[in-house]
Parts: sequence; structure tokens; C-alpha cells
Amino acid sequence: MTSLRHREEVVAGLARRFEAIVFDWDGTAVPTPPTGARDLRRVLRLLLRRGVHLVIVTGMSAGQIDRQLRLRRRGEPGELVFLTDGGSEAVALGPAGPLQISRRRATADEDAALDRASEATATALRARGLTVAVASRLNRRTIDLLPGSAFTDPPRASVATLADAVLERTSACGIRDLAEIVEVAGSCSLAAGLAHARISSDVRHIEIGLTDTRDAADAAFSHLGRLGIGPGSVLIAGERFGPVGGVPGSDAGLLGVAGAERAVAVSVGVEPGGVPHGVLHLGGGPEALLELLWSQVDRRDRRELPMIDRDPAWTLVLEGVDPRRERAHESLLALSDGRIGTRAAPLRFHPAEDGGVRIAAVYAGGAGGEALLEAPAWRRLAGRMVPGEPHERVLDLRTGVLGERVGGEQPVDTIAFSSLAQPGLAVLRASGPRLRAGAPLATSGRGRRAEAWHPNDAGGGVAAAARQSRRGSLDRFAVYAASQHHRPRMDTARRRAAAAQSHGFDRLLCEQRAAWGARWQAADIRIVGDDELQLAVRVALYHLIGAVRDRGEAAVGARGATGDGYRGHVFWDTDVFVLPFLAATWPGAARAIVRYRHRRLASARAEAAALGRAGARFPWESAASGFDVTPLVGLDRSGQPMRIENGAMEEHIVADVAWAAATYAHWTRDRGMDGAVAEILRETARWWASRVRTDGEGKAHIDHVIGPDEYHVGVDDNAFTNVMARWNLRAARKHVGTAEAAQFAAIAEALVDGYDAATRRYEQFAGFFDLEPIVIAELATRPIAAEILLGRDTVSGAQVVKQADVLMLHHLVPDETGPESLTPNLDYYEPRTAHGSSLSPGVHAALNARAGRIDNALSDLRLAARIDLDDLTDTTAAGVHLAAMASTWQAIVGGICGMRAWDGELQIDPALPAPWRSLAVPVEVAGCSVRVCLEPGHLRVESTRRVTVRVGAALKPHRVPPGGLHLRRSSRGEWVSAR
Amino acid sequence: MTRRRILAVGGPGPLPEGLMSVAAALAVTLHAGVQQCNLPTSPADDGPGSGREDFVRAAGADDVIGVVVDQPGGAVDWALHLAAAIDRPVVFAPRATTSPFTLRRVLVPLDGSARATEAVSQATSLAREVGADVIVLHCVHGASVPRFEDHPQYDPGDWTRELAARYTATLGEARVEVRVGRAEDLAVDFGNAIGADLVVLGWNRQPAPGRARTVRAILEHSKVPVMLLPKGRARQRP
Repeated sequence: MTSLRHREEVVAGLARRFEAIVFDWDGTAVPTPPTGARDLRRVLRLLLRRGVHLVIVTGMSAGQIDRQLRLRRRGEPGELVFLTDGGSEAVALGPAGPLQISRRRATADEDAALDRASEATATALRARGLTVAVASRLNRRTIDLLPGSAFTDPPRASVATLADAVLERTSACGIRDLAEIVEVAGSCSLAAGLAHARISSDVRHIEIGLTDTRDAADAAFSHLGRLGIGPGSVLIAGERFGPVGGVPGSDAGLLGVAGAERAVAVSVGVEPGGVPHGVLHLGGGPEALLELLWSQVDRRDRRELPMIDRDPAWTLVLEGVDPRRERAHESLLALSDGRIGTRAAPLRFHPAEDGGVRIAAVYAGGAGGEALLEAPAWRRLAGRMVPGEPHERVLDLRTGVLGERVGGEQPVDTIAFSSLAQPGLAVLRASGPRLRAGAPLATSGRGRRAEAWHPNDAGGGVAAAARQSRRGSLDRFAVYAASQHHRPRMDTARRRAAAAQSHGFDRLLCEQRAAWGARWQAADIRIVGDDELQLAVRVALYHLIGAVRDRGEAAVGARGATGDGYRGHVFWDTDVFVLPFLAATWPGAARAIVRYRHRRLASARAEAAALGRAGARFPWESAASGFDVTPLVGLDRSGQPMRIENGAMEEHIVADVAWAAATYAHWTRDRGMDGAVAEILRETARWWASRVRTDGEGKAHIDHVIGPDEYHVGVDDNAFTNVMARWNLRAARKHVGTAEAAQFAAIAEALVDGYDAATRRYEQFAGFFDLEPIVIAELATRPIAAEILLGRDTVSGAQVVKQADVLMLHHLVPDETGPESLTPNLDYYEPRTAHGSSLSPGVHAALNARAGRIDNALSDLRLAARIDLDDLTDTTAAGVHLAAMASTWQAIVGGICGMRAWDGELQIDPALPAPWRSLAVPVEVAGCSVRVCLEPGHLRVESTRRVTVRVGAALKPHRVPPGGLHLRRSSRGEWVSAR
Repeated sequence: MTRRRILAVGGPGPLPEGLMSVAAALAVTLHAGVQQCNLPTSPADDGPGSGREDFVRAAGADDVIGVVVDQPGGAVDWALHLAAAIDRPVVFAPRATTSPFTLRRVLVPLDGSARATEAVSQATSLAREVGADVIVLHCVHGASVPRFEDHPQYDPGDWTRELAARYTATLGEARVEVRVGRAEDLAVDFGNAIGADLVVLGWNRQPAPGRARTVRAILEHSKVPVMLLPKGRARQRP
């Protein structure tokens, strides 16, 4: 390869935007010895202003770097972090100077071991005739191979001279090269009790440490991950990647961690031994780095589009437009920020599309016909798709950013996001020679404009205002101000759009990434050993995160705002499936759901009163008002009308709402919501107390209901409804006076539940066992909509169950079920369950895991996770199924990890599926972040403060120490200390 | 340049008016000519001396773009075997076919599978060219029964809307009607109810007993012509 061609390749590899730059300090960023950093300071400040994150890796201390750099942050969106002392310390630059984020401190034992290892190494070298000097530094010991003042360090550019000087000395003592000394240091470290010592060399020194550059790189990628930056968006710059004296260069450790292979690495050093494969060798020292940094400033000032980090574990890629699948794809790739949902229709009109923007919790239409309000579209560009035109969409789940490319030779590229940091703000950047923008907002039937007003029928609506500017690329900023009952001011939207434009694309993108980074930090489930499931679970979590705002109240429709399915109505999906995920990962969003229910207590009370009963009766389908909006008539698959009884009879929703409020309280111990939770529990319990019928024997019954198994309508004593009501009554006792508490207790005690202690089985409802004993598992391949396959009359007269009904008790309120009754009920009901609800596979995955049937659990989990990805319902076009997605989280967290919160305390009873090599799950319990990591036979628990967790079936308490709790499974199946 | 032909096939003697009218209507639509083809015996006869092999060979000529066959009624095994041998669209015209034949409404029974839908796409686009309405009858049965139905008050509507969009993507504008049951039980009555002039079916050219049940049932009972469009290659060429 000619040097010119080599140079071109290097330059081509660097000719793009990077969103973060990790660089070595001494020799890479500044010359050795340092000659001031004024130019560097200037460019770093400009990068920080443009939202570029910077990480400086050095063996020096933060103070030393700070004295050279003398930089302070002044509200720039980018972050600057020093990873100092060989990866032992992390320091963030703040307005007043460096602020320590974390510091690894060696224990006394570790310090003693480091001393023993370094002295033993020095002794061994001295025995060979090599004079060395040992120095002590933070968490490491440095052995100088050129001690004394006789030799002055040459400039970094002359590393070969330094290497020659060192090797001349060592070879005179019969030592082959530096690698041999590293081997000696390794042996001595092991002998000193340091099993994981980091041995490295910068040619002149050999270091024995607890940390090194690899730890720094690990910390850098973790930190950037929290800021929403994946490794593929990172530039790593150093000056010594290649080997010198037989050992890897001192910067090689930056590439030694998982994910680093996806970053672009460049060396500005001399690299006499060449660079490792994949590293671009630019040379030129600190001046070359400076030039590189300036080029990054220029790219932003030219409004270059950022690249999406195409990490296969984090991206959904869609090539072309498949007219048969387009609408489902638009749901899957939808952008949501908790306030607005934007379907991922092509940028230019396509006849197969069904794009649109919907406002969460703002409904159009009158009572009973309430449906999510549609708003003007902000992503649309002028023109139509040309048939066969190259087209690609890439959704970055990590950052909630959608990239799209249309066209072949002169494509139009766009980057778009709906701001999780500023819900209601949407941002688009587009570039390409054939770009035709059109006005920023597209309203169906009303053309395009910069502002639009869509009213609803309740006095409110959405005011949308957008600004766009074109300087090379097009930048567009659209703001949606919306309200159900009050007309939002266009001025507000206009002002916010102007402010967004003034902040600029890069700052907003930086905020977006950080907002998503924080959410993923709190929620990301990491599965090693099943890449397909890993991606599917992330898709589910992505939609769950985007669906719910974390301020005020949140009416979360069963499809979020990703489509118009179910008219945006709120079902038990939100309370029983979505809320637990949020309570455990982002309590503010769960609180917003509880608030939504609490603020509709008045409607629920009115519903109860209208039926002549006490308390509050929450509706099966809820929208803005909180009154029931369940349709009374539907059309079957043949278009024939049929009565819909769910609104009148599916009353378990009342207890479901109460359960969700209690679940929120158990996970969060949020005292600020105690009053709301108590009121929900109290009022729902009063409903049940007035709802039951007491027979002549004093037994209490609930007649004429529909359970979760909706194939059987108007049944009496549905086990799920009755046991949930019982739970509700008992849970409310502490929130009412003594007399009422006694009444609740008595009714709870009297409620029949169909449980047979002999068989440990529940009868799903009175008379279920007398129905035709059809076992659907023997008749059809499941899942199957049995009501369509066999007809409504047949299934209603048979033991065919739509979804977990009795088993839902074991899922939600296991403490209320008969002892050891999970397995017998699973054995009985699972084969009779058609799984015709998208909620069923996830719940069964959780239950199978709890019953120790891990293979079945995994198979159910995989099905649940792919319901929307493979459009298994053929209705993903109308929006993703949030509850089915949440059921995958429940299957992993509640099922496989056996995790549950009880009054702020975490219970863990895990069983890792054999194909998985590890599983890591973060949760937040009572304000404390807890990370649970499973490997075969091992359990690690880390927490941000000392908490007690209860582990295993016996719920044995363990205190989590600062370094984490490490348990192993003993031969008797118990979790014992791994120490 | 050879003009494209449609073969109108029947037994000895004058061919039924309805049959000729169907062939003529298709010929006009496809800008082709009609060639009358009399077999020594009824087309249903495939014994020695029936001329079936010669006819099949003739139907395979490059310029033949379709075949319209007289269908005297009764058992239809012969029709399936005949159609299976011909790598062309074959229309069976029952004796009740009216003359003049006008194509106003085309019924396409389907189950949602991509292959079956694509097989009929050319016919439906031709039908639209002559101004005929295309009505897709989507029959929900067996493998086409949905796996999930979360909310019966909503899912059928969302599902039907998506189904129609998928059919439209392949077939162009079409009215989609859904019925639960087998196409073999539903299509003929449905066709009568909507006044269909032609039924179009894709098929795998598998005439063996037990196969092609829908095609068999519709051929047996339909009072209007039935067009069979091959989904695969010919099993055997004469």
C-alpha cells in the first residue's frame, strides 16, 4: 500500500461526525513535555458547546491535567470527563473545576499486596543485574527501568529512542525484552495474591496496578452509554497502540473492552512497531489531534447529519417499503416521548402508508366515541416516493432517533427524534441535493403550513407550531401544545419552537441522548446468549419508555400513541402490565399513571352510585373523563354486529387499579402518594363490599361478571375477580376505621373462590368444570383465537380459556392463592388456554419460570417478545401492544429473576435459562438503584446504598455490602455466600 | 407478428353461446383473437380418441394466452386434470353462462396467503381495466384463523382494515369482505349474493383427490365462469 493510499484511507475513516472523543492526554493531546494547551482548550470548548462529549484518559492525576488545561464548563451540553490514575478515578469537569465522580481505593490488603508484588519484581530484576526503582501511586506501583537522573525522557515522538535506551539496559542483563519483565511482574503479582493485577508498560516503566487503561476505557464507554452514546459513535485517539519492546502500547488498553471494536481508533503517534489491526495511523502528534478536533467543530457548523450507531443489539433496520407490511413497520419504528407519538411513515408520501402524529391522552370525539386526537405531521418532506426507489429506515433504540435515507445516487438523508427531554418537541434534520422541504407541518386535507390548530370536542385540542431553516441541511423544530379541556395557546407553541431553534439541533440531540441514556441505565435488561431475544426485549422496553410521561398524570392507551388502535383507551393493560415496569425503573412515570386513576375517582364513584352501590367502580375502558367508554356493540370478523358486555361485566378492573396503586407503593415507598394510594384502595374496597351477594350460609358471591378469560360472559364467582376483590378488601383495611375494616375482613373471609384444597385447583368460575371438556392444546396449534376457530357458542360452553385467568392470581397476588397451588393449576389450565390474547404468553412465561419449567418459560417469552416484531396479531398496524411488551419485562424480572418488591424490600428467587450465559437487570426499590446479575450458579447484587434483599424461595435476608453481594447456588439449591 | 389467441374449447358441434361470449369478452380485454377448438368428444372425456393430448399440446403454444372450456356440469375431476396440464389461465364456463357475457363484478376468494394473492393479481388488474369491480372474499378458516383477538370490540375492525390494505398493496383497489368459514362452503353463495360474473381462483395445479377442495367445490356449484390461475409450473407437459 502506498503511503498516499494509506493516508486516504485514514482520512476517509475519520471523515464523519463523532459524538464523543476519548483521547489520551500526554503525547496525544499535548506534547511532552507540555507546552501549554491554549489551542486545545479553545477547540475543546467549542466541541462541548456543540454537544460533543470528551473523555481524557491519563495516568496523571486530575489536578495535573486541570492545571494544564484550565478549562471550565459554562452550561455547555457536552460533558468533559477525566479518567485519571490509570483508570482508578473518574472526574467530571464542572463550572468550578473538576468534580470527582468515582474513585477506586485499594484496601489495606490490596496495598500490601501491591507492595509485595512490586518489591518481588524489583528484587527479581535486581538479581539479574538490572537496577530499578519502585514508586507508589494510587492503586498501582511503578517500576522505573531507567532510574536516576542520568537519562532524560526524550520527546514522545522519539519513543524508539526511549525503547532503545531501555532495551540496551535490559539486554545487558540478559533480559530478552519488556515482555519478559511483564511476565516476571505477572508471576510476582500472582504470588503476592493479586489474581487480577493489571500489568502494563509505557516502555520506561512497568506498572503493577489494580486498574489500568482498560478500566479507564470501560469507565469511558459506561459513562458515554449513560449519555446515550454507543461505541460506534466514538473516536478513540492515542499515540501508542502498537507494540514497543515486545509489549502492547500503553494506549492499546483503550481497545481492550467490549464494544471498543465498534469505535474508530486513531493513532497520532510514531508507532515504530506499527498499529494493531483496525487502528488508523495518522501520525503527526498533538497537532494532528488538534486538526481532527477542529474538523469535528466544522462538521457541526456545516450542519452535517450525525451517524446512527448501527449496533445490531440496538437498532431496527428496515430496507425499502413493503406495501404489505408498511403500516406495522410504522408502528414498530414509531417515535414517542410520552406526549406525542409519531408513526414512522416514509418521509415522502407513499400510498401504502398510514402515518400520523397522535397526542397522548388528548381525545377527540364525544362520550363513548373518544379516540386519540390526530395532529399535523412534522417529519413529512415534499413529494412522493418513487416506486422502487432505494429506501432505508434505521431506528436507534438507544437514543430514540430515526434515520432515514431515500434515493440512490443523490439520496436525501434525515435524522429525526421526538424529544424525551422536552416532550412535545420534535426535531428533524435533512440533507441532500434533491431535498424539497415544503412547509414544516402537513395536515391531512389542509395542505402544509407552519402552524396548525386541531380542536377536539371538549374545548381543547392541539396547537402545533414549527420553525425550520435551511443552511445546507434543513433543520426543523415542531412543538405541540395540547390540552383536553382548554384551548392551548399557539403563542406557547410558537415560543417553544423558537427556543428550540435557538438551542439548535446538536444541543437538543445531546439532551435527547442523555434522556434516553438515563432511562436505559434504569431499565436495560442485558441477556448474553440470545441475541434475537435481546433485541426483541429492547424493542419492548423502547416502546414502554416512550409511552409514558413522568410528570402530571398519564393516561396510557393500550397502544400508546403509536397508532389509533383501541382509540387510545386505557385498559387494565396499563395498570397490571405497564405500571410494574415503570414502578421498578422510572417511578415518576408510574406515579403519573396512579395519578391518572386517582384523579378519576370522582367518575368512578359516580359510576358506582349510578349502579346503586358504594365506593368507586373504575371502567373497563377509560379515556379523558374516567367514565366508561367501552363500546356496547362491535362487529365480528364477518362484519356482523355483536353485543359487547365487557364494560358492564369486566369488573376485575376495579381491583386491578387498586393492585397497581399498591404495587407502586411497594416498589417506591413514595410517601407523597400514600394518600392517593390509600384512597384508591379504600374506595375500590367499598365497591366490592357493596357489590357482593351474601347467601343464606353467609358466603359472599360476585355474580354476573367477565374474568380475564373473556370467552365466558356473565359468569358467577369468577375466581380471579373474587380473589382480587378479597385481596382489595384486605389491603384497604388499614385505610378505614375499625368498624369498616372489620366489615371488609368479614366479607373477604366470606368470599368464595372455587378453591379445592384436595386438588389444590381453583374452579375458574361456578360451573366451569361442568362445561364440555375440550382441551384446546389437543385441537389446534396455539396461540389461536379459539372464539373464531370454534365459534362463540362452542367456546362459551367449553373449558376453553382465552388467557390466564385463575393463573393470573398466581401472577399478581401469589400470597392470596392456596399453598403450592401454582403447579396443579398450571398443569390444568395451561393446556386449556388458547393464548388468544397477546397478554397470555408473557404471563405464562413468568409462571412457567416460577414453576421451574424454564424451557416452557423461554418458549413463551420468545413468543411474547415477537408479537409486534412479527405482527403475530395482524393488528400491529394500529399500534404496538404495550401490555404484551410489558409482559416480557414481567416474565424476565418477575419470572426468571423471581423479583418482587414488598414494602420497599426486594425479593429475588432466580433461575437462569440454560442457553443464557448471563442476565443483568436493573431496578429501583424505594429510591435505591439495584442491579441484579445472574450467571450460571451465581447471583450478584449491587446497590447504590446498603439495602437488604431477600433471596431464594426461603426469602433469606442478605445485606448488600458496598462492593456488592455475591452468592452462589449450593449443591442443595440454596443461595450461599460465594466468598 | 402472430396475434395472441384464446382457445374456446368444447365438444363436437357448435360451442355454447355463453362459452363463446366469455371467450370473446376476454379476447377484447386482452387484445387477442378467439380460436374455436372442437374436440372429438366432450372435454370431460379423456379416454383414447378424445383428442385431449392434442388439445393440451395446442394450448401450450406461445401465442395462446388463455383457454375457455365448456363445462357441461356434473363431476369436475376431469376439469382439474385438464387445467393442471395447461400452463395458462383456464376458464370453465358452465352451460348456464349468459350471453352476452359482461364482466362487471369479479369475485376473488382468498385466505390471505401471499402466493394465492399474487396469483390473481394480474386477473384483477385486467378486471379493473374493463371497469369491473373486484370483490375479495377473505375466508377465515384453518391456517387463516387469527392467532390473537385481544378485544373483540376493536380487533376485527383493525384487522379487516389492515387486511384490506394488504390486499390493496397487491391487487390494487378492491372491496374486501370477510367471512368465517371455508371458501368451498361460502364462495358460491356469496358470489350469487353479490351478483358476481366471474370467480377467479389461484391454484397449485394439484388435482389429486383430497387436494384443491375449494377449486373443486366452486367449479362444481358455480353458475358463473370460474377462472383458474396457476400458482406453480405445469406438472407435466404433453
